[in-house]
Amino acid sequence: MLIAVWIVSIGFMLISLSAMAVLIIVRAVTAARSMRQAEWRAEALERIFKMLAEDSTVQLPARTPRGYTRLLTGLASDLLALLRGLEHGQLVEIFQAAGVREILIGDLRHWNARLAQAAAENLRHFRSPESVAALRQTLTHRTPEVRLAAALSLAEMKEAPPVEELVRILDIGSAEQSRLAVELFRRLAHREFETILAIAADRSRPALLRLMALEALAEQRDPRLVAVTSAIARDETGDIASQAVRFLGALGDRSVAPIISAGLQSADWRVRVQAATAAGRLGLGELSEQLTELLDDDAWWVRHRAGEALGSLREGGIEQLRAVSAGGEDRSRRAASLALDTRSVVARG
Amino acid sequence: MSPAASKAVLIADDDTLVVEVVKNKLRRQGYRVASATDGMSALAAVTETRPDLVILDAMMPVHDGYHVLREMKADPVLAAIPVLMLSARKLESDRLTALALGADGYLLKPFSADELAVCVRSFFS
Amino acid sequence: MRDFLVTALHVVSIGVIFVGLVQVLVYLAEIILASRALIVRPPLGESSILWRRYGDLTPPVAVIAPAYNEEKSIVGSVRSLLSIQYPSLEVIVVNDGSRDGTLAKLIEAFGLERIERSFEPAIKHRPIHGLYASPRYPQLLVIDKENGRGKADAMNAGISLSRAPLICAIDADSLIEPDALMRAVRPFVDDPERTIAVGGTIRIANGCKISGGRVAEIGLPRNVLALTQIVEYLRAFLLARLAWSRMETLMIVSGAFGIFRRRAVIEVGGYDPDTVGEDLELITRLHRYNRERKRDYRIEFIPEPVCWTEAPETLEGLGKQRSRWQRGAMETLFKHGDMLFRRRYGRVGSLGLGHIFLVDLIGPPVEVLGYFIIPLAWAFGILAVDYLLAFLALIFTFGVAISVASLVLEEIELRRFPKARDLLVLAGVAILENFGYRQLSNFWRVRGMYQYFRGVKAWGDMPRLGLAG
Repeated sequence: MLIAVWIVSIGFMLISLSAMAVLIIVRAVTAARSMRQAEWRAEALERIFKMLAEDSTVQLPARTPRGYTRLLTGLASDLLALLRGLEHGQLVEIFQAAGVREILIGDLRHWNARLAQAAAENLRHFRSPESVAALRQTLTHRTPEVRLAAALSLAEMKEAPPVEELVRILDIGSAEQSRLAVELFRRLAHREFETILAIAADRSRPALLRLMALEALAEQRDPRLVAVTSAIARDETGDIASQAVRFLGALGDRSVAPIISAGLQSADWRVRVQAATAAGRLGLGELSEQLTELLDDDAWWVRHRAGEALGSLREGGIEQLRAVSAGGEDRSRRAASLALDTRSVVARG
Repeated sequence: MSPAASKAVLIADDDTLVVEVVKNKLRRQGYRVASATDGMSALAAVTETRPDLVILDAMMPVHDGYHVLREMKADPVLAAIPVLMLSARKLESDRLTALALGADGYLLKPFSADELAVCVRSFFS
Repeated sequence: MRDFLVTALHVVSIGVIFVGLVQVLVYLAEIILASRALIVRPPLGESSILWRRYGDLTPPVAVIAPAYNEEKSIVGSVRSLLSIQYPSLEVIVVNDGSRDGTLAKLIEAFGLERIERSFEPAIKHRPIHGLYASPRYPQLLVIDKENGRGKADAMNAGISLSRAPLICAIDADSLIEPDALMRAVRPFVDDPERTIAVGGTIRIANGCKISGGRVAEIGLPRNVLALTQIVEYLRAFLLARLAWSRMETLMIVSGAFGIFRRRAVIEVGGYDPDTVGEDLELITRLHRYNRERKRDYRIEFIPEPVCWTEAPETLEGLGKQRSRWQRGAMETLFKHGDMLFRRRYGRVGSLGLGHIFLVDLIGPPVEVLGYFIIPLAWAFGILAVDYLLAFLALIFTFGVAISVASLVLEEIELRRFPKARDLLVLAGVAILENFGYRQLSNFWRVRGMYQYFRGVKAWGDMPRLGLAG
């Protein structure tokens, strides 16, 4: 029994030692190859620059097919991400002719998820029915990151399936919680604004999904957004209400003052914080009295944002702060004078 | 004679591919181009060679681009050298910071090499 | 009498071998879990890819760096922090009542002026003398606070003053990878609802070429102790932490680099200034708090290197460090001992704390005991050779197997060492560390336990080599 421990340990030791030995040998051999790769890369770049400058369509030399095209694939990913404009189009043609697109399509099925994800991202440059078909298949890849990458590329190529279908396939908001979904919705917003808006308004959906949909739309200047966001701010509580109030501040429509005013009275301090911030951003001078009251709020963040908001109001905010700092309640006085002091300093956070 | 003749440009970026792309583009237009890959060597190169234009990345090791910009503008001799920022930071506040510090232009990555070339040319005409 | 002695020796030997065997089995399980984790880990690319992928979605981060008497290196360290690549970054330096010119250097270099800034009194900390900022460096805030209660208190002050939803705790003198934040923030983007803390791999900077507060070129140190610690760190991070994070029982995010959700840290009351192992204790408390409230939360670990630290190169310095670590582990274990094997705390109580219990509390003294008893008893003919062989197997052959295996993982998945020759040297070190270094390390741990029970609180100043300068 005890002797077995000895024997097994020897076995394990030999296994790790030989694995290490193999790796060291492999490393010594590949060192030489990576030197050659560096040369190839420099040479390929030189040619590519020449082709770009002369707008010629000379093909890149086909050499040791696989290894060289693999190198070009890496180069394509870097260059295409770096450059835009005319040269971007030229580069796509050059790399397509060199067979990069086929490599990328093949990589989508690679066992290494990192390669598959990179391929899904880079295929967005190579618009073609083949790329689209391959990316659509990748929407059901086993790794969530790869699925999302494929969806994002399809959205950028304007070839994505309908939003509802994507939400279902990727299970956004439930199993899939990545904030990359916000980016996905942003890219689809021009095409399916209404659907995404409906998702945000749908109370039966997961809160996270609704928040992400809302966040993606917040940068759009669309009047319908104000109505839906207002409704969410009015009907919901907690995190989702506070986010909705925050977006109201970003939308720049001053007619939402009554909802902000209600938010300032919310029982949830997170909602009060966002309402105070929004009141400042929208310049809602009519709420200055309510804001002044919040200078004595129990939550520090509310006092802080209320002070900031008052400081940024054109009509009377500063006067209010001065009055309070001269003789209000102890806590309010401190909040007011700090808000006055820090007004000149760059706002952080 | 193109305005590019004999003008010296320094490109500072820690991404060697950016350096290669910019170098290649500008050299073909007749500029003399030198490069640096971090903030400290960029400052050293500016002080030593006094190029006619500096293209600066915002995020570099050792000292970031803003620091290089600040140091240049604080130095009476170097302050006159125009600086073009080439940055992946797309926030309005980043652009404003750069311009407030005295940058003469702000290009976003991904960038168009042609646009960059036109931009560079405008400093010399 | 003799019979009794013989039986007692047999029982003790079996006990020693049993404890050793359990530890080896834990390590083997770690190897399996870690290799699986490395293979299926979420894809991560270079910083430019990360920036493109996540740039618009990353939450603001406040990097908090406590500094005490670091006038020589502080300006360089802060410059390096300011040049971290991240879309929305705030750098908060906490001058913990330094007696040298740390604050003066900062004021001079960055043109700081005294400011007022209202802040949430979120966590208790020593009084603040003043806040400093400069319009030229809008990202930078310097807190000048009264000295006392260690790094934990300084961190708490920084957390109170920060306004970003995420805070990043670092040592002012460690060297941060330029894209460390972009990498380590990924779990907060991919799983924003649940993630509360993220740690990454810390590596040893000795022997590397340093330029401007960054590791410019990876190399190996000449110093044998530093060399050994490289292998040791690989084992700790690439095997243990990775495996434990996979089991959702990661018990430590190193104080040299960790990102936390600010609100989660405030909820549990911040760092505990009354412990020497404040990083270990905080994570244990986060587990405890969230388990007690039955929340679904994640404490993640990413295997990519995030920062580089300077390892002690003298026996004295290293010994002090290790004894201190041991005291920290003991403190946490005794403070939260009631979580051990309790259902309510699930795997954290059983596997997480159980691991600390086994490896940090029971393991070292038992192994030291074994060194004295087993070979002697065999030499006197009391124990059969089987016992000796089993003991040697657990200490040496399995030891070599495990050390080398962590190196194998590094080479397959990360490949951070540039030359084949480096690998060969490290493989040699991985073998040799089991003969001598391992025993020393156990001795230091036992000494730490002794100090703990004697009530020693001193920190043991570590002689610094000043890498960041």
